[in-house]
Amino acid sequence: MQSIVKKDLELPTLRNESSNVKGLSHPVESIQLDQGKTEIRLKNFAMKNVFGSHMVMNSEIEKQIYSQFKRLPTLPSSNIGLETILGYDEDFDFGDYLCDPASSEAPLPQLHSAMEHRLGMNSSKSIL
Amino acid sequence: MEHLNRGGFDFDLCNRNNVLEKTGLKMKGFMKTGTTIVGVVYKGGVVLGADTRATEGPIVADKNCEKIHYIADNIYCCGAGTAADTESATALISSKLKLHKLSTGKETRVITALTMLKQMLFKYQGHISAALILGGIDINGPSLHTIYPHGSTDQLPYVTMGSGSLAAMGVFEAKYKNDMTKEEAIALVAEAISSGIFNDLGSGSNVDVTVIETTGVTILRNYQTPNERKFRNNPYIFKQGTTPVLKQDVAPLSTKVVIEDIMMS
Repeated sequence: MQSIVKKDLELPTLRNESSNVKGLSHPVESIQLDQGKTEIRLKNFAMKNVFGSHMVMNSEIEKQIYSQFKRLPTLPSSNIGLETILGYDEDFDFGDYLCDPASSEAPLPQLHSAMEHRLGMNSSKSIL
Repeated sequence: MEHLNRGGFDFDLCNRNNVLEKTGLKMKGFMKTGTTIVGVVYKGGVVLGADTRATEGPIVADKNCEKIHYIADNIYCCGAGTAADTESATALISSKLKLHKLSTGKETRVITALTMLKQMLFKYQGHISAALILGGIDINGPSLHTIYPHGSTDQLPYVTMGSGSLAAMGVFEAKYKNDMTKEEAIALVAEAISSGIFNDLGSGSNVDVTVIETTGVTILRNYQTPNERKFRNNPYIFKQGTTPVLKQDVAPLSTKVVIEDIMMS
């Protein structure tokens, strides 16, 4: 009986993209930085094998659309659409209760300067 | 593309700590549960056992800590390794499992908790030092699993983990039999933990037992206390006159303080 098992599955690489681990202060930092990308790679691999590669493209386009809905530069965005399709609304992780970026002590740049930078209007005033 | 601004671990102080360590400053240790934890499946349920000592290097940090953590109403987990890691890992998975249960609307299964734990531990490549014994009862019956810090798992009828695992396993290998009764299982677990308490430096104090069956969970906290500390029997009560009184001067409070009654309007 001929088996129809596909022997050549292109398995996703689980290596972290932030390869400069020495530059980071802790090996877990590279794991955390690449967390989203690794999960997406694994999900895409499963989706491609179950539904087909068109499904992967479909979901990538959807994610790009949802990630466009953001507030002005320094204001916090809720990203509710993006989080819903990524499945974060029904999940729980370290990022949900540790080091909330809304309460970080790092000073944010001014909204006006950030908008000028984005629109390419930042003309530096000189005394000459 | 997606730039979800999520939190997570903050590594700002790691560089500072590395520099401090190079200058010779001895860093404070962390609390480990060098431990004896066991689990056994009997006819109709699972019995989990643990000792209650938490160590910080050579010092006992906690003489009566709880090592059996709640995951779900029908699933409990014993943890060995870094105390903070086991507690936060089990608490995280407990929350994840609750969300999962609410979204699926079905009773939680032990393998769901197992898969969540093993995926998380593998993701962090062993940096989360948590060696766990997961036991519970679900639609498929009672089951017992071990989870190692790097993410590998086992399903077995009797398991031991921690520094006292060899002492406890000796007891299990000699006395385990299939289809025990609840009383036999509890006695066996207590004996295995006692063996760990008396023969391993990292384990001590009392025996905690948790019984999980279809009718519910029985938590026998401090089921056995073979290391009770003898209380001091000499209270410092001396009767008046032990020290000779030379002079006595009593001043009523009204000469020093004015007490007023203010009417609240």
